[in-house]
Parts: sequence; C-alpha cells; structure tokens
Amino acid sequence: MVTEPTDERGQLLLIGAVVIALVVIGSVVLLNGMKYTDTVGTSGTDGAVADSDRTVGMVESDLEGLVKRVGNDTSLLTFERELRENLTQLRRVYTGMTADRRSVYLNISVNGTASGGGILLNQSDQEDFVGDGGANEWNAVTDTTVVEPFDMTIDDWPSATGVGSPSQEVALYINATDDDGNLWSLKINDTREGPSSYTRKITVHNESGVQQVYTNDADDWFNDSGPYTIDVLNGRVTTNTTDSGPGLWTFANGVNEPYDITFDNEFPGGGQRAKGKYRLAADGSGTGAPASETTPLQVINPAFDIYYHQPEVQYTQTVFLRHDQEDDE
Amino acid sequence: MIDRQLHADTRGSSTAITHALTLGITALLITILLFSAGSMLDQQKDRVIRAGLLDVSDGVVTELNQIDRTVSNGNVSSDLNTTVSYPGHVGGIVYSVRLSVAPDGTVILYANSSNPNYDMSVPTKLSNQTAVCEGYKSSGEMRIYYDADRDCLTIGGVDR
Repeated sequence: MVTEPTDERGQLLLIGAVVIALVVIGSVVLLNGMKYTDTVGTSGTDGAVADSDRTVGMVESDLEGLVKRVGNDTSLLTFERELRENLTQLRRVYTGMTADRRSVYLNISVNGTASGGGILLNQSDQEDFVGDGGANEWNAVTDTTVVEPFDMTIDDWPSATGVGSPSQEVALYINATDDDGNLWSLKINDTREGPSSYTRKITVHNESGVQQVYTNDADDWFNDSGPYTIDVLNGRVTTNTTDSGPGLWTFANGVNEPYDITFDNEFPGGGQRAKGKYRLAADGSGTGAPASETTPLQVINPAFDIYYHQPEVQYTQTVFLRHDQEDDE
Repeated sequence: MIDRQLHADTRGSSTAITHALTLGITALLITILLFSAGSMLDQQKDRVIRAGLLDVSDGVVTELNQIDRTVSNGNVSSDLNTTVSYPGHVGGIVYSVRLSVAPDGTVILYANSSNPNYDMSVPTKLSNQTAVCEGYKSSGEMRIYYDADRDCLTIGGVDR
C-alpha cells in the first residue's frame, strides 16, 4: 500500500523552535537575577564595633584592678610613678594579644590632663604650722576625698605662758570639715597648770563630743622628750624610742567626703606655737599653704586613654577611675 | 473512500498562504513572548534594586546603631571611625546614601538610586541616642563615624 505524503512535518520544528526560545529567554532572566543578587551582598564590619566594646570593657576592668592594687600599695606621693610602671606592663600584655579573633592594636596611656590631680604640702624645715603670710588659721586642702600620707613631726610642743587661764592656752588644731558642717578635730596642746606641771595632750573630738584624750600622765608612750611624729591618718604617735601603735583615732570620723582640712593655731600672742614639719598629700586643691611648700600632684584619680585600632574600627575611649574605689574582694 | 478523497482535495487552499499564516502567527507569538520577558526583566531589576538599597541602608543603620551604643555607653574621647565597603552598584545602577534629620528630630537614612530610569528611594528610620549630623555618600566604601568635635554620628567618604 502506498502512503500519500502529508504536510505535517513542519509543526514539530515550530514547537522545537518555540521551546528553545523559551529556554533561552528563561535562562537570560535567571542569569540576570543571579548577577544582580551577587552584587548586593554587603560586607559590613561584622560586629566589629560590638567586639571593640567588649575588648575595651575588658581593659577597663583590668585598669580598675590595677588602680586599686597600686593605690593600696603606694601613697599618693609615689602613686603616679608606680601606676605608669604597672601600666607599661599591662600594655605589653595587650600588645601581644589578639583580641576578638581580629588583629587589634591597643594602646593604653595615662591621660594626665583629664586625670584628677591633687597637691602635696611639705614643710620640711622645723617651723611654725602657719599658712601663707603667717596666718594662724589656714586652709590646707579643700574638697578632698583621699589623703595619704598625713604625717607631722612636732619638734616643739606648744606651750602656754600663763598659769591655768584658758584664754592663754596655746594649741594647734587640725580640723576636717565637710559641706554639711560636720567637724573632726585633733587638738595638740599642753595643759600647764603651773610652771612645774608641763603636760602634753592630744584630744580628738567630733560632732558627738570628745572621742579620745591622750596625755603624758596617762600614756606611757607619751613620756618621751620627743620629737613626736604623728601619723594623723592612721592615729599613731611615735618617737625614736616609743610607739603608740596605730589606731589611736580614726581620721575624719563622722565627716563626709569631700572635706576640707584646716590648721588652726590658737595663739594668744604669748607662749610658743607648735613647731615642726609636716607632709600632706591629698586629691583636693590647696588654698592657704605657702606656695613654696605646695607641689601639685598630677595623677591621683587617673584617667586612661584606650586607643583601639583595627582595620575597620578606630577610636579612643577615656576611662575615669577613682583612687579610693570600694574594695569588693 | 471519502477520507481519501478529502485528503487529496486541495481546492481553496494555497501553499503560500499556509506558510505566510504559519510564519505570521509564530512571529506574533515570539514578539509577545519577547515583550513580556523584557517587562518581566524590568520588574525583576526594579525589585532587585529595591532589595539592594534596603540591604545597604540596613547595613548602614546597623553600623550607626552599634556606634551609637558604644558612644552612649562609654566616654569615647575621639572620633569613632568604621570603614565599611558597600557594593559599587546594586541591580546594575549606582546609588547614594543620605543621612537626614527632619525638623522634628526624626533621623532617616535614605538609600537613593542615582539612575533616572529607576527613580527610587528607600527610607529607614533610625532610633538613636547620640545626636546625628546630616551626611551624604555615594556608593562604594563608606566611613560611618562618630564625630567627637561636633558630638554626633554621621557618614562620609574615606580619607586615605
């Protein structure tokens, strides 16, 4: 049987062409989408700022510990030097450390201008305990929270001329007063009743009244010829041969920080004022002491600059720390 | 027999017209296909650009928020610089980012297309504690920073 030729062959080609066209156009759309999506992916700092926060926080807590330890181990006189030395060590530790999976450069330095300073009053010659211009009553330090050290050497104990009259008493007061008017006072005098009964006496009182009284009649350590060194801060009186031991009184007991420290010579004109030397370092400002005896201390409540640097993030954070942080150990 | 007769029957039909019709209809179909594919591509691009701008502004806002948090928590005493590389193009077009402060204090970050054919702008509101200064940067590497002198967050170019 002979089959007749048909004209249906072209349909298959047509369908094939349309399918190929669809595939080509579809892949163009798809590839376009892929290309654009590729260019959108952002490369942010991947939380670098948050990481830096954590690192700086870690440094801060290390610095707090450092300041606390150095503060406990030194007086204000050597605090700054010791602090800088210890900081050098700490810096070395951090320089060799890679923080937060990144290469980070950290620099920690003491910021002298932002740090809270103070003063050192040092009368190193045997003189009257008078202020600038010979003032009997004068302000040694204003608005202080940390005092360390506060030593006095009394070479000549004050002596009254008169016999028994209170108006002729000669005494040296060291007062600490706060803004609320609370007072703590250390009084150094002699209670001469007559020419023969010369008596050394130290009286401590505050708002609640007289707290402690020490006299050479009652206390053995007070029977030396002197000179007496009084550690006002720790409540200790020593001479070359005697030692009262610490804790005779608590400095500035009942007075709130910040307080002022004043010297007051009760001097009626006759007799003799106390003479000696003293050394007082504090974080307040000085107002009444002779300029020749006053030296500024730059760093007491230190401020540190922490410079954090990594490729994506750079900044400096300043941390302010207090010298007298609460010991929470 | 009738079937055979109809198959063989070619009256009223022309081979040329059959071909012309076939080609015409095919051409019409393919043209429609191309047009619709083109407009679909356009829509796709539009969508991709919008998504890209949103992505970039999200990134910038995240960086600003992080800096804001760091600045408001601590005592940052210098500029706080972050350098971030964003793509030079999204959806094949150049864009720009503008940090703007409305008169009522609302801070909005706009990511704008710089191509007149795709005129679009993606605003993202910023909730910040540190003040913000207005800033502008075209696409690419961007400096997102806290300006210590002016005490504000802003964006700008990278000095190198």
